[in-house]
Amino acid sequence: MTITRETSLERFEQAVAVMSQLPAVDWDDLEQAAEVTREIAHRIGDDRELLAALVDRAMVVPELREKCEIHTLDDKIVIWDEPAKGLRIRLRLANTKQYERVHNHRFSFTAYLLNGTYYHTLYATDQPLDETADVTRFWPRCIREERTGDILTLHHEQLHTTLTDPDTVSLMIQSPAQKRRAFMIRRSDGEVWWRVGAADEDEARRQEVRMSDERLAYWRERLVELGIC
Amino acid sequence: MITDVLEKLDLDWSDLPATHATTRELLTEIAADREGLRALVEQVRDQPELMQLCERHRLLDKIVVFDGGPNGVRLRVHISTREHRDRPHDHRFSFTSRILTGRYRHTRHELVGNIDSDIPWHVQDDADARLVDAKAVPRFATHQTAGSTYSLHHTEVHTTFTTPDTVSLFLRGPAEKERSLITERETGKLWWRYGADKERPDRRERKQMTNAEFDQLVGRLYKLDII
Repeated sequence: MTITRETSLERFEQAVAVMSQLPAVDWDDLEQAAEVTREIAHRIGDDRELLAALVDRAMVVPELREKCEIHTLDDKIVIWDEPAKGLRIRLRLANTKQYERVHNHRFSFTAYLLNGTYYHTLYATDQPLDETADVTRFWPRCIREERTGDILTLHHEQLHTTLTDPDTVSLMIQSPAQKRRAFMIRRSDGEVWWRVGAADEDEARRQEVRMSDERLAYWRERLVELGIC
Repeated sequence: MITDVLEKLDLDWSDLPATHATTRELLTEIAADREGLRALVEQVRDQPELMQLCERHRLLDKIVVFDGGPNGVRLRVHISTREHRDRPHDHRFSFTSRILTGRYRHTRHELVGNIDSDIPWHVQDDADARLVDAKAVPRFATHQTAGSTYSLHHTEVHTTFTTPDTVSLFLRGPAEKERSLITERETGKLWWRYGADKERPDRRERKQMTNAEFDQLVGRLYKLDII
């Protein structure tokens, strides 16, 4: 079917109508948030037409388009942003390059694996999370595989690593930022760095991570090939 | 034979990622070999040293199908009871678990605050539990479904909030400490869990599985198509 401007608009309106009905999430109660976001994850992730409309919409809505980013390990397409309800929803699209970095997050989140596997490790440590951190003092405490169809919720303070199979795609529902920067340490050499939000990044960095139209088109097609939308 | 493999299983639980890689494969094989699993469960009845390790608890029944190996592994089959409670706890040992059927809500907690280690030895059940300042704060939550496997270090505090008829394979390493803790979030109370040698005799007796109870549980495993 040829998608005309009118049919696109209709699809977008229908998608927005569904998204506007989503409940607010209280991220201060992680277990409750896990149950509420589980429902939301299924509502979006199990509806291919809805997800397709949301991705297409993200390509043309400037506030979402500018949030689509490329990174070494994974790319992201932001499909919904509603901080008042505690909802930023995006697709995490794994690249083939993988290395292990123990990290926490600026936000708590729920991930719904639409395709692929996470090789997931949760860590404990006994030291401050800064440049002085000793990489040998991050101890693996829980080793898991998250498989296609699994849903997990992680508190922003929990240290973890996720190695992924190629083409691992997850629907991420994340809380508003809980801190300015998140800690990261590379397991192989102990190098420490930080992840900050877009507001704390300079223009050069924003340009560097901005997803090109070609890349976005590639992922749109890949999502169809993987049967995700 | 599964027991031959278990007899030789030489695991270093201090290297949890490496141990997970081995035990995950092993539990996958055991879960796929229904006849083998059936034989493993059925032979318990004829082995008094395994029978006496089988226990009935408020939330869970445990059939011990193997106990041995060069550095002490124990393979159990866990069967959830009809009662489900939110009780964050740690373990005396590290372990790997694979869900065979059913599901449970699984939460990993951070224990925030202090635990009075002077709480006496005899505090070993919910009726005798003591109020503590420490709180279990959730850090990770998921639903553990059939076919999923995970390994957990003995220091981790977690909750498994089961549904009826959830059955899992549970492979534990040697004890790393004398006692583990169990808390109840509703009441903020804590009690200890000891190994059989240090357990309060009245509790030990209460938990012990009878032959009739064992037969009933095995019947349930047949009904659930596990064996």
